[in-house]
Amino acid sequence: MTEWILFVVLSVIAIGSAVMMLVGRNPVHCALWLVLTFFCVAGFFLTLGAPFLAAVQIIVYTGAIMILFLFVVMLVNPEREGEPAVPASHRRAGLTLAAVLLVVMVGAITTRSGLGAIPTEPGGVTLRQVGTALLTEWMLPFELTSVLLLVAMIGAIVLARRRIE
Amino acid sequence: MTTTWRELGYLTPELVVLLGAAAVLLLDLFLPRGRRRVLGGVALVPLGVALGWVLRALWAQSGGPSQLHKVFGALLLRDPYSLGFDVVFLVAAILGVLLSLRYVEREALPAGEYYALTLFAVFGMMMMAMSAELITLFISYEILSLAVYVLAGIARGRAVSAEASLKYFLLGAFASGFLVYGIALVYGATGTTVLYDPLGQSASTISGLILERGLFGNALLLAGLALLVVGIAFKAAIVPFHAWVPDVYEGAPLPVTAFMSAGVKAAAFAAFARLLFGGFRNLGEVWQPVLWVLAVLTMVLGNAAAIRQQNVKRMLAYSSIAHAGYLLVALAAYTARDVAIGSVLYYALTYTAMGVGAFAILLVVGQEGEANQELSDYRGLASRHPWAAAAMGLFMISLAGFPLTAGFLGKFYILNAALRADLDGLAVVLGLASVVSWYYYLRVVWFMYMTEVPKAAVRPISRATSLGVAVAVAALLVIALGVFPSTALAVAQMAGHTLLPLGY
Repeated sequence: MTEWILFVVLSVIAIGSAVMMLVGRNPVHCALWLVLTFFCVAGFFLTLGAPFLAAVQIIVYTGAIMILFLFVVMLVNPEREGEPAVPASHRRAGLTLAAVLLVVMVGAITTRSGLGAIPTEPGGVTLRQVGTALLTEWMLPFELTSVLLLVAMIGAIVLARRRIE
Repeated sequence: MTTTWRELGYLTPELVVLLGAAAVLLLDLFLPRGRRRVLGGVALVPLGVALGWVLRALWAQSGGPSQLHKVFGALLLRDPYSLGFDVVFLVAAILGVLLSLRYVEREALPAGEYYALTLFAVFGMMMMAMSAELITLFISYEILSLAVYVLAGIARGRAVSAEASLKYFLLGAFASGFLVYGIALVYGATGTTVLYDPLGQSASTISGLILERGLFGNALLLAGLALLVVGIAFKAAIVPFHAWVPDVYEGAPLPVTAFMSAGVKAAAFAAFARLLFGGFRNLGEVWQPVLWVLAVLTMVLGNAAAIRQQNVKRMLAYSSIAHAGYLLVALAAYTARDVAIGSVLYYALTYTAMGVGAFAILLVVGQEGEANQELSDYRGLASRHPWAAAAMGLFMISLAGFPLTAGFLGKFYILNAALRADLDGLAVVLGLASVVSWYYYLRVVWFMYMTEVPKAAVRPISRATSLGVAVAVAALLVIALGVFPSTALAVAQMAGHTLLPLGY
């Protein structure tokens, strides 16, 4: 019962803030509404017994990606008044696409086609299980990722550095 | 599951290269600015050590039964196949570093980062060739890609270099997206990301599950396979995923272009063959026609575009697309896989020698800021600099595939595989494409030997020792692979067989 109540509350907030993001005029406010949506999605993951995914959702989306969003929004500083009106044909095309996507997603969820092969853990996956898997079975990709991040860091420094003295 | 020191020992060459990259980066901090030129020499050490280790391991197995080790569960395979490709990557990298020694100094590139990124890229390639699992494959692919994106744009002073880097990065990010999406769909269909188990101990691999569950027509699996093919075809510069090649090859610093055209392509094909012949071997009837079409498109368009080029660097870029097409013919010959995989490996090695060799001559003739790369700059080269012209001539006729050169034998073995797989049409296209390629390769030779320039217009060439060594090594490899192919070919075939199922 608590789960059901949580689900309803989170859904209302998630959908509500998503709509607010769409209709908002101020880009910074829109970004903040999106953050709220992401938090609610993280809440869904928690209620489904996937605390790791919830943490990743917050760290990656609200932490890294939204900060990047806000940076860009503040750097670009769009003119609030001068934005061009969206032509009606674009609106119609967008609505059609959204409707098609909705049908496809509802169809995929109700028929559950093709996803039977993925092994599922009854009762959800705990953080401990994720950690154990990462450092035993998946240790190599885990360590390789650190090499990848090092390369990315060096690359960013090389390309962004002002001048090679 | 425990990973013992013994298992880590199988990764010696990879770890040596990785430690080398770290050493170069650290050394860069402590060296005074004027002494940074030694970093290139430092980078050669781990590459040489790794090459020695790999050759010794291959030599030890060339007579007896081939050895196959699983490392980290089933994520990596240390087999002669990966060792054989390591030779290609390491040779490409050693030649690439030799080409860079003078260039990095002349163009004032950041030496520490340059050589460190080169070593990281080699590490990524070596891991890619060993990966028998899709997530490991993807991360290795990204290590390689990120390093090369930055290398392509490292000459930030030149606008074309920055443009090359940006284009490569944006399109490459799309390709990575395709690859990840493909992995997700394949996982959705099978529930595993392990490609195959060559020792036959585990059935819960993609290749095993396709058979067990009869997933031959599974839409999810096929869509996933298609996306995987797109992701890798991008790196291998296969038409129609080649749009980035000319601009990136032309814009990137020349030594990087040389290294990319040989190494990155070989890494892509190493992963391609492991993916198709290992994980998706039971879907051969599905992917073979796709490769057939891609091979024809790549050969035809690569050659057709190369003919029109007046700039030699751009011509070599387009011709490298055509060579990717020849390699694809070997992959398409999957019913003759006992010879097909070996011919891919042999051709990758010969292309590395002759391709990087040709780029080395571009550096010899070229001037500061990548000038002097037009065809007309090769006028009368033979009478002014007979050795440079002779080496360029050798690389050109080998790339064109004239008899007695390594390039001819490489194409011959690919044709052999294609004919044994009853791909007569593809073999004919390969032959015709080669004939077309004679035109633009021999045109360079004609300019060097049959034309003259007035004395006043003669420009000096670069006489750095490191360049001379690189050209000599490449030329010797081309001659050796062409005249005494048996050892290299035997090793390539042995390496190719390790990809096949037991008892094939």
